[in-house]
Amino acid sequence: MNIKKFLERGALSRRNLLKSFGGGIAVAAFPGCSKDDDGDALIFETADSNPPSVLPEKTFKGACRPNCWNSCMLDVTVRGDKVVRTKRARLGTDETGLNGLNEEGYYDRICLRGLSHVQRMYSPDRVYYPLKRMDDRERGDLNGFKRISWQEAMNTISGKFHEIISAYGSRAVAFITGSQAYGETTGVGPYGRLASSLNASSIASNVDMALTLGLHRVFGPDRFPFFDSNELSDMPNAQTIFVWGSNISETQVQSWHFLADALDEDKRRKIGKTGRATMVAIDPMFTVAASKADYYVSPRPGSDTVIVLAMLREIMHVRREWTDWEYLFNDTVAPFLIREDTKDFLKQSDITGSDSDNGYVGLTIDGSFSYTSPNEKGKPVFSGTYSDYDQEGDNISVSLANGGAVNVSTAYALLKNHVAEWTYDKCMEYANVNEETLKKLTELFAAPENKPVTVYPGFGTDHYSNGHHFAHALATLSCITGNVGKPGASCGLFIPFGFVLNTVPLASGGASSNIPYLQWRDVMDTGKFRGEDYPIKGLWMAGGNQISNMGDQKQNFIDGIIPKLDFIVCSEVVMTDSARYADIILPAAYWFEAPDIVAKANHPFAVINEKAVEPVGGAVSDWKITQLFAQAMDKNGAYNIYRDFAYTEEEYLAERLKGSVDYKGDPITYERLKEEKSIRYLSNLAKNGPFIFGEDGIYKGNATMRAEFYANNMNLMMLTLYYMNLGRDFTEEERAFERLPSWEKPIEAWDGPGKDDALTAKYPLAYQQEHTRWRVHSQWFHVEWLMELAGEPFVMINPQDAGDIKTGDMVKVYNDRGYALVKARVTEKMRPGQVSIPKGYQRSQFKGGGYQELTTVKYHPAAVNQAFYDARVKIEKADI
Amino acid sequence: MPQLVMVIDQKRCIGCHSCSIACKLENNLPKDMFYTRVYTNRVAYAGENELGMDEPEGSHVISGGGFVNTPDRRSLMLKYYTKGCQQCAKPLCVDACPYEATYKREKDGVVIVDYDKCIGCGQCVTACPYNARVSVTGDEEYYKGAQDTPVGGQGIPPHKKNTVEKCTFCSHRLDAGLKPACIEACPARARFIGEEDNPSNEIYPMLNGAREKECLLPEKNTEPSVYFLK
Ligand code: SF4
Ligand code: SF4
Repeated sequence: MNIKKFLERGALSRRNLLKSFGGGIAVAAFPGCSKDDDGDALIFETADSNPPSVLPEKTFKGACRPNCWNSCMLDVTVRGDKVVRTKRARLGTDETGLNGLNEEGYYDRICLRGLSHVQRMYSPDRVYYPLKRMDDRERGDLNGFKRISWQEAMNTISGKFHEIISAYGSRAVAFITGSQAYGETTGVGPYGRLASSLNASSIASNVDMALTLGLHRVFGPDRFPFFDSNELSDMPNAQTIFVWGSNISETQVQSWHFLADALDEDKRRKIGKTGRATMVAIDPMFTVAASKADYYVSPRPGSDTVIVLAMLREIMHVRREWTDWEYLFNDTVAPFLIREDTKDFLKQSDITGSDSDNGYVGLTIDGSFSYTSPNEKGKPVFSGTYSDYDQEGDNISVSLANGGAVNVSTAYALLKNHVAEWTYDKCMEYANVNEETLKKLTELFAAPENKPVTVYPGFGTDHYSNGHHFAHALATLSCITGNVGKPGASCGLFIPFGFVLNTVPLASGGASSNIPYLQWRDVMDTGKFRGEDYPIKGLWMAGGNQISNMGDQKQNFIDGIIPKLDFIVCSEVVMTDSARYADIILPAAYWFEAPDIVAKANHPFAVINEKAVEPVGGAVSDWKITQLFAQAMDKNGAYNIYRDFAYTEEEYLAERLKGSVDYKGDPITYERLKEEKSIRYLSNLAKNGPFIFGEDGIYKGNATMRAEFYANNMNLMMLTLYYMNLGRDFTEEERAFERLPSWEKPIEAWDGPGKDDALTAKYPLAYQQEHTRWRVHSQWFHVEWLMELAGEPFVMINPQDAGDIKTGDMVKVYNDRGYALVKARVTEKMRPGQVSIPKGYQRSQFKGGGYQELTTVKYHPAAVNQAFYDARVKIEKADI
Repeated sequence: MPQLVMVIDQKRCIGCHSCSIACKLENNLPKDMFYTRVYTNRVAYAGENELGMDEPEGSHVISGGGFVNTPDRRSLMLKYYTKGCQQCAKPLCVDACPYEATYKREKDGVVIVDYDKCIGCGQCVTACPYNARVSVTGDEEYYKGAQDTPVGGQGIPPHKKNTVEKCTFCSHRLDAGLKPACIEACPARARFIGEEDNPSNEIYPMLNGAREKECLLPEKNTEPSVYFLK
């Protein structure tokens, strides 16, 4: 072992030894800063009488909130008028919901990014003042801007928007927002309000919707999209944890220690469990999470659905004893009869002919029919018991009230038949997972000694065009095995966003119309959406860096959409890929420069964010930006929108919290939150344990109030109808197909059976964009402390695919849509056949092109979801 | 002399570098300087840069469709070592310093540099087998954002040119009754500190339990005070 070489890497990196000193350092007025005799600037050697330890400091509570989900509460320390330090603070004071460990500070959290806020806030890339693109400069020119006053900025924007709206109507102005901050006065919040107030168009980003669709089909749509799971502090209660398509150990670092506790015998002993839990990781890439797993499987990219279908087959056809009959028949639609003709649920009224009979029809244990009747909670239940139920109820004829007859089967039987084709051999062929592996995975998921099972899915599988089938299948597998609704058993994500927030009613305007990003270019080309006129001329980008984060960045967005817009505004904190394409850039305050509240996180607390310092330069909060704009707009005519913004930041926050309650039912007011800093809002039935999703067996978003693995809610079957109306009709076949989880090959990445031979020959490698610890999407891209470690962009490729490419070589990664010039890293992290460029680097950081040029806007019509990993590329050495 | 030791649980450590950045913030370190860094599999990251980070040992075996890793057979392996000053019980740097500028604190065995005595001759830098020390020449580049108001913790000794610096287990924080910044920051709860021979300390059962432990370069007889629990 080359220990010596390891140790050669000292405190100072070699890069620094080579680096020459780049000139003087400007030391601004700061008490105690001095120059030594040689005139060299001393960084902070202070006069003895005034050492740093006695400089006055003040500490505020801040909420770090970049859509990494973790929403950490921080202590933000201010000296003079600058933030000089962030550290982790106590999150939550309540003991409930922690788990038996009840460890002090179980929810306290910070990470490398949260520790480098000072660099983000005071970065040279920060936008300090309103900027206007100079007349002689092209859009996209990073240096093409000059400073203007707020007045000029607002006059220009409101003037342009007024012009556009007067000529083309309010829909001609569009807003595109991202997930830059989980706040109300900073980030996306105020712009959604502004879009509604103006009755403008909104461009929906179509991100992460497939996982949501699949899980919500089964568990119901009554919650925010990313909330189908137990509280994460419940993880130590699981006997087996499946991490599927997620790098929890790198991208949700604050969730990892809950999982680590599950794997720790001593911690488990404290909660009365014997031995450690078992961790399983499924991911084509050998991630940090995969490295922690007891069992690691590397399937063919985009094939995960097949593995679940084959596991379902193993249980339903081979290991029937692993079925949780009780859960299936009390809490799911398994016994309900489905009509062969309509593929819909057979209703009591179909048989009795009386509309007032609103029960469902199911098959009882002795093979006769029974109607459901609602229990006290309104859930349709049968009289009698269904324990040890194994009536399959396949293809039975029933007489209808109208005199006809129809063939019906139970939802259980339909599923069983549906998965029958997924034999071991077929699974091997599609997913490259063999019989032995499949049997072991099934055993780990379903055998009594391995229960309860928690599944922690990530968005890896979501980023293929078939991602909703995967999620639907996974939720179904959890239902069949009863791994739902119990301590240690859950399947989904825990991000109970926005639970506590009140919608502050608008005085004017109405709903803005949603145009999917994935269809936006068509709308620009045709001026039509859903057959109506949408002549979009003006765009406001805010609360996120959408040019960096939307698929097919170059051909679709930069070359296809941007040139067709007459006027573009961007509110930003730093100079991003998006900001540089704007005509006017507005400087948005950073998170600690404005008061805010955060109630979106993978923890169950509402969190205060105190204003710690004044914004840098001329920056103001996003809330104030929208206020200023509304004021300017009203001067142009009868818009009358300022009344929707006539609140101070704090008044607005107080309004947002109106009606919110904590887990005990006591009101959460802004005043109280300011006092207590963080308040647990999510109720847990057990009162002294973590929140358990579905504990009461009531899935109240579903018409049957049961888990609907056979999809019932037609709106939910197609997310298009749920979140947005594409104006596209689905055929009966399409609808029938989406009822049960099915295999569909990914649109582009696929190289298994049925692959596109021409495409795979031309572009031999599947392409994904790993999310790393250095950034959250594109945020922190410029932070120098992190860049010292993360380095410049690179592409990772397995040695088997690398040919004569060596680590450090400059390569061109390309496909029909674009390219990226990057260094190669030949690595065993990657599965042969797939490459990855870590996500979030800006175009300016590439030698040419960018990582997002290579992704696609092709999508599955049911999910309308960006399939970022569903792409193929070729790699060649580049001579530069 | 009581000896403070640090314990890093490799089963929990996820190589996130929060410890490195917490240290950088706490101590207001300039460009390219780290008192502590994260290394992958100890040797794999002996390369020059990020292109070797998180590089597993082994190979990504997929033929036959079996598990890549099971509890019994692992084709790929990833483990992290974080490395700063080892606060050796027998520090070679202390012996090497001609000016008695570097010494072990009586109360906790932490190795300290007295910037008033240190002239930056670099003898200790050469003597340290762990390459844990760094010379401060005055040419360091501090970040623009940090310049007009120094960042970091209270009570850090001001940087001084022509001295040598290193990790001090955050001695200024220890003196204030706080844990080192890297430990406070670790999201994985993988880092621990305590007196080596004190049974009432949380690290005592860790070091004296069933888990295998490892120190860096034991053959140098420096008796390092940083343990990795495997
Ligand atoms: S980036 Fe995420 S994990 Fe890191 S400190 Fe901020 S909220 Fe916490
Ligand atoms: S902060 Fe903790 S988990 Fe992260 S690298 Fe350091 S020791 Fe490991």
